[in-house]
Amino acid sequence: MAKAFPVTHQRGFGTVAITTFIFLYAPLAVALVFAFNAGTSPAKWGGFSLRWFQSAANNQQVISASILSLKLAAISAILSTTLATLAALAMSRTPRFRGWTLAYSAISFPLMVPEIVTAVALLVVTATFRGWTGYSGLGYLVLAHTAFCVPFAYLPIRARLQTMDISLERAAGDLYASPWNAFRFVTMPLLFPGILAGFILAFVTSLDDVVITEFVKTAGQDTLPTYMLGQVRRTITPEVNAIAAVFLLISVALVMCIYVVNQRTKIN
Amino acid sequence: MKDESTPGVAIRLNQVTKTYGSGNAVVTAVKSTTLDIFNNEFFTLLGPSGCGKTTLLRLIGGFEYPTAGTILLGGEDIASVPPFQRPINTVFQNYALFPHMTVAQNIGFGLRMLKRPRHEIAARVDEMLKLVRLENLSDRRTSQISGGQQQRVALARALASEPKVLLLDESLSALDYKLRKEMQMELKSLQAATGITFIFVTHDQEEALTMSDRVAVLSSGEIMQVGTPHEVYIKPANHFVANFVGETNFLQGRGLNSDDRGAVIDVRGVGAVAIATKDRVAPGQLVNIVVRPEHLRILPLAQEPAGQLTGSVKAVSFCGAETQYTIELSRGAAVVTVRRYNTPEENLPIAIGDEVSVNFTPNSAQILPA
Repeated sequence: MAKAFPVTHQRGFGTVAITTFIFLYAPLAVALVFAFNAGTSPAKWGGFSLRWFQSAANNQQVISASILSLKLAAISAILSTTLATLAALAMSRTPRFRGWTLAYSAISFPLMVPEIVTAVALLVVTATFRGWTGYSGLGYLVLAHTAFCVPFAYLPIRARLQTMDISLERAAGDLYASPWNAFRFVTMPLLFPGILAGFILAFVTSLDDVVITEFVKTAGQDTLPTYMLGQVRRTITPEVNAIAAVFLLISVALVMCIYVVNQRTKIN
Repeated sequence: MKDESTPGVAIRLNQVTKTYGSGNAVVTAVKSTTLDIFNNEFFTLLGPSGCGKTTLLRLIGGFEYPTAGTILLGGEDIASVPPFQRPINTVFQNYALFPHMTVAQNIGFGLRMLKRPRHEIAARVDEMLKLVRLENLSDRRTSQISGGQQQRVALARALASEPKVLLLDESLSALDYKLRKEMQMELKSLQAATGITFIFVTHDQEEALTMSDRVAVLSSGEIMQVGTPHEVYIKPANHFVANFVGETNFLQGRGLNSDDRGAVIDVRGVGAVAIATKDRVAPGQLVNIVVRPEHLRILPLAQEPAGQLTGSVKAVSFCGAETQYTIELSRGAAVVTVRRYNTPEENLPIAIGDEVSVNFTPNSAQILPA
């Protein structure tokens, strides 16, 4: 076996690494700090205060955008996770079918399509449907979010399925479990961490989507990110920072959730 | 369904064929196999990898369906019954224990799927834990126990619902030598204690001989011989069996003459060799003399008048209880392996380069068509 290339011993490794981290986290840190600014500028420190959190919490627009965001994320995460689970099972637990390779790449391909392209395409489609049906509810956003969340939900589920020994399902069948019972008592419990990870990933992806939402939404359908975008265009106050801070907190909490579940349910 | 049950027969395979693929790419894994496996029998399917033994086991377990033929369990054709409806359980090669369940939950799984009452399951699980001596591990996760213990959990799980037949798929191959020896004995006594028919698949001929009541030797999808370990070893039906089961010497030659007491074979490059055998040989027929290394006697040439064969020692290897000698017969035509037990009586030293006489012990050689 070839000796590993010891990248950490290369000159300048430390400098590059530290610079990268600074670039990644310094803006976040600044944004977080200014969420607690008492002044009205997101760039000039005016003392410590929680007033912008308070202001955001009392802002009716922020509240309704938050509710819409959470509702949208929850519904589309549930839908896309269900679809992704079924897809992952079909791709790994059935005999290879005609078009297997095509299906395999088709499921993850949307990850590589520039979001703006998808957004424009969806805009055209939803506008057409609106014209035909007259319906302009949340359905379009739900469908759009579900669609682009499927590959995100799919990846961890499929990864989990691949590490699962197929002979476990065979053993369940051997021990008088019908195909449904084998799924319910063996496959499902073992797959659960993957499904949860898929759900959280889909939830977070939906929660912070701007581009597709901006194109598909109709008036009054602002999610939190699109609301923030709208705010930033007008006047920037540390209220945006406060919202961002809460957002970040939710994301970190969800990711930690995945980590904890994975640690607890490690196979072997 | 016609009742063809024969008393004593647990599993009857009737003209069972299994092929994979289609068109030009058909692979035959099992070729028109007919076989009876009896109740309360420890039966072994023995053969090299790719011989079809695992496919045969899967056909019996229901993980594969035969292309043709019937599989009778107690007289009923189960060839197309899915595994979860067959009263046959399997101990998988990698055990396939459920990692999200405790030892006790694993053992009780089959009964739970059969919807047995809770108290009955609990009682049966306790009984099985006692049987495989794992009482104190019932609440452990399967990842927290050793390989040998996992093996016993897999056994207990498969036996808990009292199947008609237990299938064991190379179940001991993952264990180290010492543990494997122990488990061989344990399996044998478990089989006797439960009275369940065991069908064991292995490529290890020693394991097959040690444990089985009967052995089927398979090669390229076909059964070469079925018999007790003794029969298969002492009286192999053909060249393949002789070669695969145990170590054997083959001496090729042509028949000169034979009668009730023996045969004379013109061994290529060696000359006429008389052996005591009941096998008949037609003059001129091309045959192999088959003799086990432990059935050849060697003595230093200086000590004894020359025997039937002479040769020189090419290699000596000490194997503990015995010593193995590689002898090149005179005129360099053939090489035989001879094994001597290292008992104090038989301690005439023989070393590399020594000239020796080689003798068949009476009735130890067999003649098979070449």
